[in-house]
This record gives sequence, structure tokens and C-alpha cells, in this order.
Amino acid sequence: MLGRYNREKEEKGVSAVSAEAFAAALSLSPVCLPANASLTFSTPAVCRPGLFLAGYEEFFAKSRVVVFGSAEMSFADHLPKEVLLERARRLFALKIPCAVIARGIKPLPELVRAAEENRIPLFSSKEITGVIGRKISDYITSALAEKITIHGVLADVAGMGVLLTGKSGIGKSEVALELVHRGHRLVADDSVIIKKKGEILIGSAPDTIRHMLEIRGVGIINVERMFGSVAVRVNKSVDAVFELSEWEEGKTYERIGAENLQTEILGVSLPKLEIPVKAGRNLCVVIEAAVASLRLKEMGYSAPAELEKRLEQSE
Amino acid sequence: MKSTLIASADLTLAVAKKIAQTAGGFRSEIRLLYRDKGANAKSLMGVVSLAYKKGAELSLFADGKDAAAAIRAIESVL
Repeated sequence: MLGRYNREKEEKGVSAVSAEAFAAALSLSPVCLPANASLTFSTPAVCRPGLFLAGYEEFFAKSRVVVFGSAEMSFADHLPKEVLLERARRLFALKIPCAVIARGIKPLPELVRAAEENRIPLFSSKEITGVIGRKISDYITSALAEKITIHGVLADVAGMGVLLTGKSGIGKSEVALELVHRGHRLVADDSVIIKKKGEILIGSAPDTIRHMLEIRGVGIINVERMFGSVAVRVNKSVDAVFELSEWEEGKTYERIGAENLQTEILGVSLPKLEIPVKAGRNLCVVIEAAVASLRLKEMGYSAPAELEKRLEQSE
Repeated sequence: MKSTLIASADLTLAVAKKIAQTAGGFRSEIRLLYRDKGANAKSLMGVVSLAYKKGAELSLFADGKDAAAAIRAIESVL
């Protein structure tokens, strides 16, 4: 199981995005935007260039996005122009990913010039320094997140993110449709992109096929159009994995439910159930029951334990 | 088994359907990869999600007894 999920593991560590996409995602206005600029991030941390501007360059973290707040901008404004230009040139010459001036403070011409000379994007943000710093960190965390694509369906079933896996043609899409019909929400059908954020897995659909389902015999349907915006969501944590498999005679399936099967995706442990598919079994209802049962387990209740207790107490 | 090839046409729904149908005729597990995206070649929507254009560099992986035949068949569709 583990091997299967990790096979398509994509590169992590360094992620490049276009400067335009970065600016759009964080509502930044470009001050200096070299053509075809792409930003390469290797850390989600940001740094304030105060000490650097004061002339102390030791330990400067040049791989971080540089954020100018009011303190740095006011300090820079107090520096003699030629000193500021010289230090700004040294700063941008370090090939920092980009720099952002917070609070909508007017960029000093020396900073703009130094950025342009070194072809480093410089942006301006209306947000206060702390807020834009945190937003930049969040954005980079997401861009750097480890991710994999898994063949399956991701649905929000009564608040639990359930990843349905199983062979092509086993009926995952049909189950997805039924789940939506019963008021649950579809996140992704067929290809689920899973990103690791901290110890949480977040799943979403590839943009092209988001909220589309292929139902054999019917064709392609747009779930959002058909059932409305409440029937879908863009992303959801992945909280459990249900593997659908063809019912095999002679194979032992979970009968009692006292065992805790686990699987791993990107190093995160998740509860896993193997659900056999057989004509006459209403899968959707089985899935709802499985979700309710997992939730009760999380809350400390176990039906098998209670049954055991009843057996003990019986005369 | 692995094969790398260049797409001879843009991916359209018709092409995706042909790929999925061709792949569906084999028992092997078949995956199609493009850039950082991967899909089960037997799944129509999975193939559609790759959204590649003519000239794209694609990788084809097949695992199973009929892997070689599967790769040949899908190559002729791409």
C-alpha cells in the first residue's frame, strides 16, 4: 500500500512559480517586474532587512523573501541616498527570491533601481508587515508541500474527508454520484492531488477535470452544475482511506471491526477500511456507516467492546 | 515497462477516450505521465486531467503480463 501511494512522489524542496502568479495570489502590486521572472523558493520563512540596511551582512538569510516594514522603510529613508543605493544593490545582488514592501509605503527610488539592476521582482502590499509576512509564508508552504496524485475519489462525507480507492471500473464514480445525491460533497473524482501540510493531508482535483464525473453509460457530467455549489468543495483534508475491492468468495473481510487498520500517505498515518463490492450492497450507505463508526471510535466508543461487555455480564 | 514518446496531437476528449478504451483492453496496470501529473490510462477523466498539447513529452508505464502489447497499442493512439 505504502509503495503504491509513494510511487509518484514528486520533487520537494524547491518550487518555482511565476512572479505574476505570486503577485496575484497575494494581491501584490508589482513595482519592479522583470520579464518572465520566476521565483524559486526553498524556505517558507521571510526576513526583514533591517540589519542588512544598517550595514551588518553576516548571517543574512538570502534564500528568504525580504519584507520591508515601516521600520526598514523609515530607516532607509534616513540613510544618505548613496549609502542606501549601495546597500540596496548589495542586498538585491544576493539574488533573493523577491522583496515586498508592506503597508503600501511608497518605494524609495534607490530600492527600485537596485531591484531593476539585479532583475529581482519587487512588490508592494497594502497589508501590514506581520500579516503579509505570514501570508507569504503560507503561500510558500503550500508551494513547497510534498504532493502525490492518487487514483481515486475524494469526498467530504458528513465532514470526514474520505478517499475511495480501488481498480478502474469498480464503481468509484458511481459511489461519488450517490454520495452527492445523499447530501455529501465531491472534492475530486479519478485523480486526487494530495498535498502534505504539516501533519495534515489536503486533497483537491486537477483544475481541468474539477467536479466532473464520468458515469459509464451516461457520459461526463458536471456535478456542480447538476447539484449546485453545495454539492462540491475545492479541497478537503484526507481523513480516512476506504479501499473498494471486488468481493472474493473465501476471502476474510472485517466482521467485528475491533482491529485498527492503518495506511500511510506521504508519511501520514490514516485509518483504512477494505470494503468489498457486491451486487445488492448499497455502498453509499456502507460508507456512511463506516464514517460514523470511525467517528465514534475517535470519540472513544467501540461497539465490539460494548458487545464484549454485554457478553460478560450475561447470566 | 517504460516508454517515452512525443504526443502527435493535442489531447482532446476523443483522443482521451481512445487512450482509455485501448488501455482498458489490457490487464496490465498502465499509467500515463506528463510533467508532474500522472493518470491511470484506463480512466477517461484521469487522462483528460493531463491536458497536454501536441509535442508534449509523455511517459508510459505498464506493469503486467501484457505490458509490452499495451504500450505498443497506446503508442499508436498517442
